[in-house]
Amino acid sequence: MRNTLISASVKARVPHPATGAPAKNGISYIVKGLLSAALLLVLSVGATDVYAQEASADSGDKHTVQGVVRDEFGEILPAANIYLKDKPTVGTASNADGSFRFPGKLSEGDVVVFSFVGHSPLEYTVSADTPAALDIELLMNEMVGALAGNELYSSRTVAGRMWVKVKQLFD
Amino acid sequence: MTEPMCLHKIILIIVLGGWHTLLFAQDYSITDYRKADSIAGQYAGHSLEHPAQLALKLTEDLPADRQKFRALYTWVCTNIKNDYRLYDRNRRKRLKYRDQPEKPQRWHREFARIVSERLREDRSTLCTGYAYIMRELAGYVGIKARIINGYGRTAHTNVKDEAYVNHSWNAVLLDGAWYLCDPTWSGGYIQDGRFMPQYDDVYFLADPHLFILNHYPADPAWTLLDEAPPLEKFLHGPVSYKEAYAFRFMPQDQTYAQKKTPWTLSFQATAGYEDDITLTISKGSGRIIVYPDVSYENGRYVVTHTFGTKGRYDVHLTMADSVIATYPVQVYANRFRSF
Repeated sequence: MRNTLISASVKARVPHPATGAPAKNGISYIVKGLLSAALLLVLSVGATDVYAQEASADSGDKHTVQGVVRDEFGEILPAANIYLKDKPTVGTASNADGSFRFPGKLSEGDVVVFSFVGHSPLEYTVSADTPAALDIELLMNEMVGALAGNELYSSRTVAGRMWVKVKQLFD
Repeated sequence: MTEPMCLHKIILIIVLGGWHTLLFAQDYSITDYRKADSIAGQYAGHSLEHPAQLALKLTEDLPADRQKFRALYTWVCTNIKNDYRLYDRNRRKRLKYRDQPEKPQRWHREFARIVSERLREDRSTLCTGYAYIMRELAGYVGIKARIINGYGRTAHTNVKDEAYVNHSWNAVLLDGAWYLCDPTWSGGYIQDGRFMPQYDDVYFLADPHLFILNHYPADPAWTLLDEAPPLEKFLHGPVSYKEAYAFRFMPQDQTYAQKKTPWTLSFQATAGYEDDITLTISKGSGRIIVYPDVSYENGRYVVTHTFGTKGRYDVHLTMADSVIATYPVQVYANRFRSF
């Protein structure tokens, strides 16, 4: 018997409807593989200037993407993560004054992701209209923290204190 | 009491509902992660100043996404401290400003900056920070992960009527299927206000049928169950501990409890522990350990005990010396009260 029944009920699933994760095909694997191989190669050669070289590898109209990252109240966000959606290792972080300058130049259609803890990430698509200085505004999210304890539940709060370390008693 | 789930029913579900989705079947088989864990160990204490570079270092020698994600997960769980004071400050402020919707926003703005700085410079954080860095690190190596906010259930939170969204964990897309994990709770626990690091991978790509024991997402779709139980059921079930995962504990029914009448509780769990199940029963400040009648059939245990007197009890279910769940039980005197 063991777990056969239980594991049989863990059924196959389609990709989640909310996100519609695409099925990967062979070609995308190859492209990904080549990309990451190229990245690793560049990384192993030169330390921090990787980004500039990678980002300017494409042809077409080039845009310098720079500006300031703020929260919805207009206050600056330092050390926000900024990276290319398709090549997440290409990127930078905002400075102490919230300003940033994306390394290298970007092409129209490139998507830049801005993320900061406790805020929803924002995707910005580079276009012909990309201004000389961007004002990026990130919206707040819930900040939570639930602790894992090693305590047992007690329906009585007073007695509960006496139960605090009860688990050790069983060990 | 309901009948145990029959084999033909399961086959029916698979045939009717799932044949075309088998391509994306989740795989919960035991995988060897020694290499991934050992790479994570090599980078113990590594700085988080340049997370993209760290993510590449942790994963470049690993072939598959599952292994890559494991290396990142193990690194996060063993290198990031749970900051109790950060948690406590946030909790108190949220409580204080519960009725003043304007103020918590200001607090949140300030707090997000503190959390960001602590995470980067001190590698300490709270749930939101764990889930955030997990998503970011995975993203750098092309693995899609999400932050899931929801109800985390512990001995003190989200039990019975007091429900609030207090926890963050992750969903991750590997080989075309979504999985769940909780880097915060995998990293250790809090005792007497101090963080005790203790890596436990029970929450790594956990079976959703077990994950639901103590995680209920704000959006029920992220239970990853075909049918999410209602939040009510989550809040009112027995309180399960992480030890329950090892026994594949899935609580089912319990009968109405009446004094001097056999009371039963049933649950699914790994076979072979019929002689190793005890109940520690507390009422007020007293407690006793009893050896109940236990039967096991069709993957399901049925445990029977008779209470001598009415009252409110906490029944701690123990398997092989591990407390896996606590059932709060109200025992009635009235013979004629029906259910």
